[in-house]
Formats: sequence, structure tokens, C-alpha cells
Amino acid sequence: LTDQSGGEPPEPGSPQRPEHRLERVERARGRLPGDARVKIVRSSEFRRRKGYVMATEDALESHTRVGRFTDRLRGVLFGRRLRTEDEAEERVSKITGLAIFASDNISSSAYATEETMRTLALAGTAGLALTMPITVAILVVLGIVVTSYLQVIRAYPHGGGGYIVAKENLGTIPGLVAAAALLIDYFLTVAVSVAGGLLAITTAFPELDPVRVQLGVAFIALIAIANLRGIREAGVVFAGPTYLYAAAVLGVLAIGFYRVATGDTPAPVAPPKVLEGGEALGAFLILRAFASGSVGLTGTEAVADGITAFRKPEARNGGIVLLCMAALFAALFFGISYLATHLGIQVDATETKSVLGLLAQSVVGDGAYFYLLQAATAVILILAANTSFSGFPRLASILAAHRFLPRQFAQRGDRLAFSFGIIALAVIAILLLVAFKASVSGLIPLYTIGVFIAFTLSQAGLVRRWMRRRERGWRVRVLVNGLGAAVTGVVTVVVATTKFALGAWMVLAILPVIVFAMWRIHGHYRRVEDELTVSRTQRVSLGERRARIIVPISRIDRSALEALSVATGLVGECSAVHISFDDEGATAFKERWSRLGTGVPLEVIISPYRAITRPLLKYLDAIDDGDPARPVVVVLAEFVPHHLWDAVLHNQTAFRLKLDLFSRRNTAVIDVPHHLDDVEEFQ
Amino acid sequence: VSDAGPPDDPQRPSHVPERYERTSGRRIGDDRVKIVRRRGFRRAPGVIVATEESLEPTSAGGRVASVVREILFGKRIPTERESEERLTKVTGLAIFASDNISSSAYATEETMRALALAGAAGLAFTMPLTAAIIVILAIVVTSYLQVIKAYPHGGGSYVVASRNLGVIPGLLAAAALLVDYVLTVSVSVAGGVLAITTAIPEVDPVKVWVGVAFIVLLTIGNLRGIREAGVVFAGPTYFYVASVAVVLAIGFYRLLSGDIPAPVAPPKLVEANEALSAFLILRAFSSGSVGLSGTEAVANGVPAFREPSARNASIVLIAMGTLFGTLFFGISFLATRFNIQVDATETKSVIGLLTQTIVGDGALFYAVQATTAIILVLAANTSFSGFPRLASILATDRFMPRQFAQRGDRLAYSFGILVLALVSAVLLVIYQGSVNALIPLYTIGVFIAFTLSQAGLVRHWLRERTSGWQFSAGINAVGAVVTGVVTLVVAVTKFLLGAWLVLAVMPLLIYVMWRVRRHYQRIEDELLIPRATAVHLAKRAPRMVVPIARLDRSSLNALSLARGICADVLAVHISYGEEGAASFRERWAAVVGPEVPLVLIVSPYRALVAPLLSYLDAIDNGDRGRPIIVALAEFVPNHWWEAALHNQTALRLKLALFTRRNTSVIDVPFHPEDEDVPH
Repeated sequence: LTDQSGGEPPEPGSPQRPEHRLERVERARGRLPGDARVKIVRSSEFRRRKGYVMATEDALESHTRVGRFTDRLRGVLFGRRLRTEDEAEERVSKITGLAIFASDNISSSAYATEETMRTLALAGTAGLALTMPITVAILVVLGIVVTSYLQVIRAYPHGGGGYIVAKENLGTIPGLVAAAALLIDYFLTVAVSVAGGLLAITTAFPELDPVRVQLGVAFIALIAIANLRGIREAGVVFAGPTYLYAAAVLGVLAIGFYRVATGDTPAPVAPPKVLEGGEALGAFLILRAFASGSVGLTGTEAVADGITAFRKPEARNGGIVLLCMAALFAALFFGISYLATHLGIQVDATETKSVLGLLAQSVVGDGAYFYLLQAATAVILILAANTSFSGFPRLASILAAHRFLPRQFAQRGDRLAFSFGIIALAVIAILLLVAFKASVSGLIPLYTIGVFIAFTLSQAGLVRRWMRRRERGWRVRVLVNGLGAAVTGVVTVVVATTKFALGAWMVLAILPVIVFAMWRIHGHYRRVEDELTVSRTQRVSLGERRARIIVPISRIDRSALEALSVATGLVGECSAVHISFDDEGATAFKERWSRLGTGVPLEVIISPYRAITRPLLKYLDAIDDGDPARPVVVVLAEFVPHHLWDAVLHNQTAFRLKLDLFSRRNTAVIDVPHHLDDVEEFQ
Repeated sequence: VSDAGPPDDPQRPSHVPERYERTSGRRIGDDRVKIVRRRGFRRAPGVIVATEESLEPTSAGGRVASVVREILFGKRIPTERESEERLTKVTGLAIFASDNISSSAYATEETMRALALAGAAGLAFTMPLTAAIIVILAIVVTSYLQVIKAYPHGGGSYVVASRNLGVIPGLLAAAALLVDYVLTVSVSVAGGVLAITTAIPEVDPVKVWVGVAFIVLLTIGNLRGIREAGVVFAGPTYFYVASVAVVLAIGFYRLLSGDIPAPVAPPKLVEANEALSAFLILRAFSSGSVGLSGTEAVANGVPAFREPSARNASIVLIAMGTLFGTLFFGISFLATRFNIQVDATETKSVIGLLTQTIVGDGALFYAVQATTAIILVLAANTSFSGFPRLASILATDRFMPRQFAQRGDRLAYSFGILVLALVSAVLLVIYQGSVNALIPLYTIGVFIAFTLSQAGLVRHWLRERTSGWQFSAGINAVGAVVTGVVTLVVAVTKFLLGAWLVLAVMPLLIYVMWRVRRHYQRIEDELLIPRATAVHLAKRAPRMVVPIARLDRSSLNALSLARGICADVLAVHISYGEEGAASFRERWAAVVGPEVPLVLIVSPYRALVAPLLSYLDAIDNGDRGRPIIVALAEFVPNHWWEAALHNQTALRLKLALFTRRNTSVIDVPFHPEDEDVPH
């Protein structure tokens, strides 16, 4: 029994031992006279350290049975609590980081080629001939975007991505626009990915179609639970499918290239119905195809937003992951586009067979490999949502730290995850999914516009940064990012105009609302801050005013006497007040009161209009004796019901009174709860 | 003038709402004391009286609300003017009789509609059945007269049944009546709206909302107090009675003078396709018995009448019985004499056809039609008088939440009125304002109550054996048997149509009332302390714990107040890491200093509430029984939406502490404009 803390041990003999000590002293007599032993009983819930006490895990244990049950349930679902100091261990390595942050971007390789070809096919073969040039153009833009995000990571290693770049270089409002655009896009990514994955599943199993919304909700809940377990565990769980997909597609591509190189070029499998083109090949069509294919750029921003999730050195690890992601995506996208055009794969007008599926069938036939690829595609489409679950809470936490969002977003939960952001994202994505009945074609027009707004703003922000800093080689950088800003800006405008009527207007309408809300939240926190701040060093004086203590008593019973007992134990002038509806009641009450012999002065108010709250408030005003700044303490007896429904049966007067007193100056309320089985006796 | 201690006493208690100002006169010793009284209170011997000024709202929003309230509901009425707010016989008849009298508009038709299924042979039974129903009415009225005499404080069937038959039958009667009151409102309003949509079909798409608007109007009228409701709603009732009486008088005159008019035929006759059987006659009888509903209202609401209330109520009850009897008998008699037929399409009523037959298509016909529509809606008003009163009696007996027993600003039982309006409006919306769907639910409750009160009276006479008890018991026994048979017939014939719902809801209602009573009883046992005993308050100085999240004006305000009222104050700060703890301690030393002890807790799992609760447990171990008061600094936001932006930790802490033994919470709200807040 040694005191390892170095803190002062309690003096066992001293009767003046301060009462807020955690140790209890027990004296035991030994066998021989004078052989007394002193035992210091330490609580297991706290450990004494130098100058403070540490709350152990025991201190978090619930006392109620329901509480213990929910604790256990939480342990099963989300795992044990993690200590703040273990944060470093909870970060992700490059391998899991790639799986988490790249799943969105890499999953878009499954449909980027198809989206481009679907638009170009409207202009027939002449259009489809442009597939490869557009693929290359998109890859160039990807190169610019990735380069600029690498610079962002280096410049802002604490995360925040497009929001931080725009805010620091362009001003608060552009920053908030970028943030709002990203937040919206994260919601939509979850909804669209899950809806897309569901489409893949219901194409295979049409029986599941009636319950697809419920299935989608279940998927979102599962992803949310995994993320609430912490980003590391989520990474481990979701890494497999991502790598499986990449490996499967790369395998198909390798076999394809091998067959092309060896002259054994496979014959293309034809879709159920070939998409026929009737449009002329115009500049606008090419722009639209480019914009459609640019969907493959989504997810690029996630690494820069969530850079703090990586192991140290974060910037370096994040940069490597970003490069790997881009290289992987580029390889897949280029390979698919190249083979698809080389083999002459056609786009399916009925939208039941994907270009990737047709390509795989052409290259490897109808065997097990083909089905494996289809399954991996469905899974990665859903897992693209996981990137949002990493990116959104981190962006929201940065916004909350900057006071643009409620501060709950900045708090880490039991597992060090930003639980509030994860839950908020899950709830909103579920609402979106339900509102759009899990329809991909309903959701897709809303998608990609937000992320391109963020791209444009972050590129523009970088241009501004280079121009200001004028470091070595700034001209090249300005040129690259200027080009990037122009291209992503054009894509933004093309996407916004072509999809405006289909639903993009909703995003453009909500965006200013979110920006305004964030701005108002910031204003509120700032005002409160100004009102609350005290000087850091100046000494204040406390407790100079003698308070008036008022105990409203509706009826003389145990709970009222408990309140009275607490009130009389305080320092200050204590008096009781009773409100009666008529003279007889008042007389009877006074008589009963005087027989109690409490010694507390009583004022009886007759309220002929049967009101209780207002006369009591006016009474408090009336007795202020010309000194409204003197503190008033109102002591209320409250009854603790056993069941929730019991509460309805008791008058809500105390509650109403508390609400009114809450807004009264210099007034505090003491709630004295009465527990039905309290052993207190007053006789 | 004042019993509040001599004015020059420096120890004058500070809880008195007067201020003394001393002024020195010109000469030495010539002091004057001025007693400055506060607005809002008047001093009476031993007590202070809160005048109307004390109810004045302080905020702008409150002032608007109170002006709106005054326009809608009128000025507040003090309790002592309760007797002036009671009903005279004239307004009382209008209020309590509107339900019963309105049923004269359809009682004949309901009887004939059932009988017409057996053709002319069936219709010949109209007059005998009418006479039978009137005899039962007489029995029911007689028994309610006895109820009024025996239980002058109101309560009607519930009181009779619970006093004479036991608690469960009493609750059964009460539940039946409560259900019936709610249904009366829905059915009457739906009936009135039907009369309107028949005349103006464009209203049909919004008929539910028209019905809800009627309910809102009735609610407002009744929240203004029963006297005003009586004045407002008396006109239409008497107007209806007068117009029907005039039609009947002209009819009898033409009958006597031999000028028998040819009956106006309805659009389509009801086809006779059933044989005349005992069951058909019983069904016709039970359909016509709908005319008895509303008879119980007077006995429930005796205390609403002016003194002598029992006598006044009896006179009103007799007048109501006579009026209804006359109208019902007259309509049935003339309808059979003039051979009025029942309309199969249900667009023309028997009373309408009879009026058209007697007085033609003129102004009087339209007057009768209009007043019929109005009185059908106003029948709901009887429920608005009966339901809140019955509920208040049940609440006094602790079978319902006590809010039902409280009188509002206008002395009305506002809570009961609002609950009735809400439930009946919900019913109206659920049934889409359809009379056909609602009517099967109706009348069963009232007949259960009739039967139970008659049976209760039989028991009463058997016990009391006052003079003539055999006769009284005989009458009530016949009444009980007949109303019991009607109850059974109604329940059986309408069971599938919806009466099962009522029969299912009633036991539920009884169970709930019983549980409510048991809950109140348990609390009562727990809380009550014997009268006439002196108590001694355990004066143990509490210890105060002030959790401080951050050193700001709000938390310093709480700390300052805590220091002022308690000698043993302890501040607790929870930080997530050691660096935070160290910097907080440094700042504490600079700003607060050593006078308030500070405990720093590092919570590595980022929990706030649980470690604090555990800490309270840990320091409580040494001294159980000494109260702990936790002072919570709370920031008061300007707008409600801002509340979401502040951590809900204080709220969660309060919830957790509410169930902790020996622990109170002091809420210290921080208003930025507060004076004396540490800067």
C-alpha cells in the first residue's frame, strides 16, 4: 500500500481533513493495545497524480442496469473505449489509407469510360472515336488536380483541403462556398454510391427490388457503425474489397493487352441493344462527354481533407497515397478506355450491361472470373461511400474548430472517431436515399457539381497563393493551376447547365443556405465569446452578495420539507411562500405552517385568478427592495416519477416556473428532487 | 396598516413586498416614514393578495399573447365571482338540453326508417314505439331527478354507480359517458356539416376542415365560461324549438279543421323487404332511443346552476323532458297521420318533408331547415358542458390527471374542454367527417350509463328504504331492464359496424383510470406527513460542487453565487489531457486564487458526465446524508435555435443528477447584461 502518486497522503488523524478527498480512512485495532492500524481505502475510479486526479475506466461505469446494458451493447457494436493519448496508434498506414480514401475515386473507374462513351455514342462512330482523346484529357486534368492537392497537403498539413485553400487565399466566403460544396457532395456520394451498389445487386437479384430502400439504409448503418469503431478498423474492414476490385480489373486488362499484343484480339460481346446516335458531333456534345467522364475525378479531394488521419509524417504519407491513388485510377481508366475502343465495345441502351462488364466478358469469357469481377464492382460501388465517412467528419471537425459548425462536430467519441459527424452524415444520407427512393438516375444529376466547385476554388486559391508568394518557379505553378482552375471551372459550368433542370438546381439552391447558416453560426459563437471572455490574469472577487432564498411551497409534504431543509442549510435570508386560491385555504395553510415550527418566515399570497407562475414572478420583483442585482435563489421541490408516463400526472407548474425563472436576471433555481424511497425522516 | 415589523427595524424581513423610505423632517425628531407599496399586490390581514396587475406579462410577446387571449376568451374572472358565473334556468336549458332536444330532429325518422323495412304493417308501429320511448324517457328523467336530489354536487351516473354498485361499475359508467361525450361532438358536428353540404355541395371537399372549425368555435365559446357559452348558444336552441312548435301547431290546426294536406313524397321510397319480426321492432325501438341521449347531462352538471342548484337543475330537466316529449310525440303523430314516407336516398329528412307538407315551400320551411342544421351542431355544446365537469369530478376522485380539476382564467375547466376538442377533432378527421361511419359508435355509451345509474338507484332504494321505496325501486328496476335491453340491442345490431371499437376502448379507459388512481394513492402515502406534528428540519450545511468547463463570465457568475450561499464550495474541472489540466490550474491561480479549492480531473476517454458522477460518489462516501448541491452555469441564448449550438452537457448532467440521492442541482443562468457579474 504505497502512495505512488507523490501527492499528499491524507493525514489520518486530522479531523480537519478536507471533505472532497477521494480516499477514505479506516481505522482497525490490532490485537495488542495501542496496535492500531490505519487503512487508506482508495477509490478504483480515480488515480491520484501530481496536481490532478485521473479518471480511470471504472469511473465511466454505469450504475443503473439499463446503463450497464447499453454500455455492453456499445462495447459489442463499437469496441472498447480508446484513450486520447492512443490517438497516434489509431491512425492509418499507407495501405489502409489508400483503401479508405481511394475507394471513391477508384470506384469511379468502373463507370467513367462508360459515361464518356454514352454521351459520345449519341454522335455515332465519329463520336466514339473521341473516347481516347477525352480519356487522355481527363487524365491530364486529373494530373493537374492531383498535383495541386499535393501542394495543398504540403501547405496545409492539418487538413481542410479545398476549404482551407480557398479560405486562406480567397477569403472567408469562397472558403465557405468550397466547404458547403464539399459537404453536399459528401452526402450525395454516400447516397449515390449506395444507390449504385443497390442497382448492381437488384440487377442480379430482382426479388430484392421492393426492399431496396431498406437495404440501402442497412448498408449506410453498417458503414456508419464500422466508422464509429474508428478509422483504423474501418480501413481494415474495407481494404479487402478495394484491393480485390483493383486486382480483378488489372487482371482483365493484363489478359486483354496480352491477347491484343499476341494478335489474339477477342471479338466484342454485343450489348442487348446498341445505343444509336442521331446527334451531330458538336463542341457542346464533346464538352458534355468530357463533363460526364470527369465524374472520375470525384474523390480526389478526400486525401487532402483527411490528411490528419494518416500516421506521421502525415503530409508525406498522404502525398504518397494520393499519388498511388491517381496512378491506380489512371491505369484502370486508361486501360478500360483503350481496350474498350480497341475491341469496339458498344454502349448498352437498356443500361443493364455495363461497358466494364462487356469488356470483361469479351476478354475472359463467361466464367468464374467474370462473376468475381461483377461482385467486386458492386461491393466497391457501395464502399465508395466509405470515403465520405472519412472525409466528411474531418472536414466538419475543422469547420467546427473554426466555429462555422456546431462544436459537437469537433468532439471525438469513445473510439476517437468524430462520432457526431459520422452520425449526421449517415442520417442525412439516409434521408436523401429515402426521399429519392434509392434511384440512381434521380440522384446522379445532383452529384459531381459540388466537388467541381471545390476543385475550381482550390485551384484558384493556389493561383492566388503563388502570385502572392512568388517563390521559385511560381510562374509555372500559376500556369498549371490557372489551367486547372479554367478546366474545372468549365466542367462546373457544363455540369450545372446540362443538369440544372434535372436536379442540379437543388444543390445550387441549398449551397447559399448552408453558407449563410455557417456564417450565422460563426457570428453567434463570436458574439457569445465576446460576452463571456474574462481577462486571463486579473483576479476576480467572488461571493460578495448576500442572496435571498425563496422556497415556494404548494403543499406541506415530505418533498416540500426536503426542499426547505436544503434551503435552510444555505447562507442567506430564507423565506417560504405559498400561493392559495382562496381565504380559507390561506388560513388553513398558515395554521398548519405555524404548527410545523420550522422558524422559516412564510408569506401567503392569495391568487384570486388561480394563476401561480406570474404572481410568484411578480412577488420576486416586488421584494427586490430596490436592489434588483441582489441574487435570488428559488428552491423548488420536485417529485421524481418512477415511470415516464407518471410525469404526465403531476402538475407541470414547477417546469413552467423554471422556464420563466431561467430568463430572470440574477436568479438561480435549485431543484431538490424527491425520491419516493428516500429514507429521510422529519419527525 | 402593516404587520410586517416596525419600519425602523434594521432586521426587517426582506420577503415583504413593501419598501420603507425615511425622510427627516425640519425639526429634530420629526421623522417621517413612507411605505412604498409594490404594484401587483394588496395587503389583507395576514396575507397578501395578488391583484390583476400581478398577472401582467413583462415581455412584449407575453403582452401580445395576453391581448389575443382577452379578445378570444374575455377578461379573467376571480374565483369569488364563481356564483355569478353560474347558469340561470333559461340559459341552463339551452346548454344542457341542446343535445337532447336536437335528437327530436331525427328520432322519429330513425324509428320509421327501421320500421319501413316491413312496409305499412311496420310503420303502424311508429306511434306505439314513440309512446314507449317517451315512457322510458319519463323513467330516465324521474330517476335523474332522484339522482340530482341524492347527489347535488353533480356526477350523475358515475357518482350513483360508484356509490351504490362499487368502483368498477362507477368507472364503467364514467368511461361510457366520456366516450359518448366525445362521440356526441364528432357526430353532431358531422351531422351539421352534412346538413350544410346537402345545401351547398361545393363545401364537400373541405367538410372535415369545416367540422374542425366548428369544434374550434365551440371550444372558444366554452373557454369563455359556461355563462357566456349559454348566452351565445341559447338563441338557436329556442329558435329551433319555436319554429318546430309553430309547424306542429299549424299541423294540428289543419288536422282538427279537417284540412288534411297531401304528403310531399320523398325522392325514393324505402323498399319493404323484411318481415315484421320482434327483432325488427326491437331494432326500431333502439334506433328511436337515440332520442334519450343527452338526458344525463343535467345531472352531471348540477353545480353549474345558480343556487338552489338542485332545484333549478330539476326544473330544467323536467322542462327538457317535456319539450323533447312534445316535439317527438308531435312529429311522430303528424308524420303517421299525414303518411309521410321515409327517403331511401337520405337527402330529405322526415321533419323536412313534414314541414313542407304542412306549411309548403315558404320561409318557415327554410327557417326550420336552417335551425335544424344549427341545433345539430349545437348538440355538441352539451358535451362541452358535460365532459369537463365529469372529468373534473373524476380528477377530484383522482381517477384522472389533476389538470382536469383546475379552473382556467374564466372559471371553465379549460383542460377538459381542450382535451374534448382535440379528441373529437381527431375522430372527425379519422372518420373523414362521415356521419354513417360515426353513428354506430354512438348511443351505446349513454345507454350503458343509463342502465348503471338505474341499477345503482335500485340498490340505493333497497338500502335506504325511505317511504315509498318499493315504488321507486320498481320504477328504476323497470328502467334498468329496459335500458339494459336497449344497450344489448344496440351493441348487437351495431357491433360489426363499429360498436366493437367502443366496447374495446372502454375497458382500456377503465384500466387507465384505475392505474392513475393507484399512482396518486401511492404518491400520497409516500409524501403525506401527519397533521399537527412539529417537524425539525435537518440543518446540515450542504456542500457545493461547481463543475467548470472553462473560465469565463458565465462560470465565474455561478462560482460567485455558490460562494455567496454556501461556505463549502469546491470547483471541479475536467480536462481531456494533462497539458490542458496544467494550463487550467495556472489560469485558475491567477483569476480565482486559492480561496476556492479546485479539483482537476483528467478524463482520458473524453467523457464528462460519468467521471463527474463517479467523483461525487467518491467524495460522498465519507459523509452520506450531507446534501450535495451541484451548481451549473448555463448560458441563456437569445434565440431558441442557438441552443443547439451549445453543448448539451449541462442538460445531460442535470438528467443524470436528477436521479441521484441527496443531490440537488442549482441552475445559474448567465445573462450577459447581468450586473455584478465578475469581469
